[in-house]
Amino acid sequence: MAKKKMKGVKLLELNEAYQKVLQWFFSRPTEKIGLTDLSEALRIAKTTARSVVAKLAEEGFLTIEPIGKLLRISFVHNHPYNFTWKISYNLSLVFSSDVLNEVHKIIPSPKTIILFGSYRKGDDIETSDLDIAVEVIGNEEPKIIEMGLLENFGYRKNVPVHLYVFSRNNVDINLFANIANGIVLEGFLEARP
Amino acid sequence: MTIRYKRPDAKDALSLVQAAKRQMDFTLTMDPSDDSAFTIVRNIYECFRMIGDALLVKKGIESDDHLAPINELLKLKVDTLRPIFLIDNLRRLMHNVNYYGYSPKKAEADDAISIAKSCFKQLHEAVMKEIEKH
Repeated sequence: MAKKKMKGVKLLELNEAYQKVLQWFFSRPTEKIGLTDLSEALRIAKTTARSVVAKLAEEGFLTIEPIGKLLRISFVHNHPYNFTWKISYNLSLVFSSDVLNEVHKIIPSPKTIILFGSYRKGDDIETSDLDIAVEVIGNEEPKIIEMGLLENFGYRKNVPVHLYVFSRNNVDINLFANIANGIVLEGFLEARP
Repeated sequence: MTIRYKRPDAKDALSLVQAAKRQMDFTLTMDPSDDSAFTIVRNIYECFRMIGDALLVKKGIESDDHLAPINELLKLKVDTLRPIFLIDNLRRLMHNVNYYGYSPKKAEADDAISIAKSCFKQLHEAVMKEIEKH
């Protein structure tokens, strides 16, 4: 009975560690890091970090480069996780942050709020801006509002947020196509064939 | 969302649809302006909500919020000039008006009128068919 419980705990810990490592590399795709630094940054045991990194390397998500006795771990940019799990991770960060409430403070009654750009595609890096489009009614000229910096965004710090305010009667077709291929966070984006 | 079940009532449902149609016909005669925008947007939204509510009443469902009637309406298969999902944008707009004191503008009234002209007739007919079914 006791053995079973231990197994369950270990499995959960490993899953949490697996998520943490994935998310760390989603947040810091250009960094190379050693195993000790990684386990300290994520507050997980070094042995757990080693097994998770080995698993992710086996899945092709990470590359491990031995430098003497040390390991240098980096991230494979064209791995499918970047276009699948990373997007859902970005989306969960957007929803769990206070960004949408802040958008409402600037645009009290937006028609639609859309996540587009690099965070939507999953090719965001440490310096990427979070691009959010807001559709408003009428003929308003398109404008870009710099909302400021998001202090914490997963394992990333000080992420700049840009708000693209547009009305469908007055928007460049290429910008609209880009926005329409984003992810609707709130409201309904009307797309006409 | 709370849903209570009661006896299905086709007559009550029909009254709701007829009242919504009368109200919509009148609302579409109003001139949109910044001053009339609130009344126009509210009336148009209420008309959609009422015909959605009629579908629930016909099924014997009583809902105490606005989500259920609108969701019921959005399930209908109708061919409209603009997407019926825009009605949910009207619901959100009215939520902002009712709970955050937002004041709709003429452009919003114009859009609500356009949605009404593009969708209400088809939805009204589809709801009537549902109510007349035995």
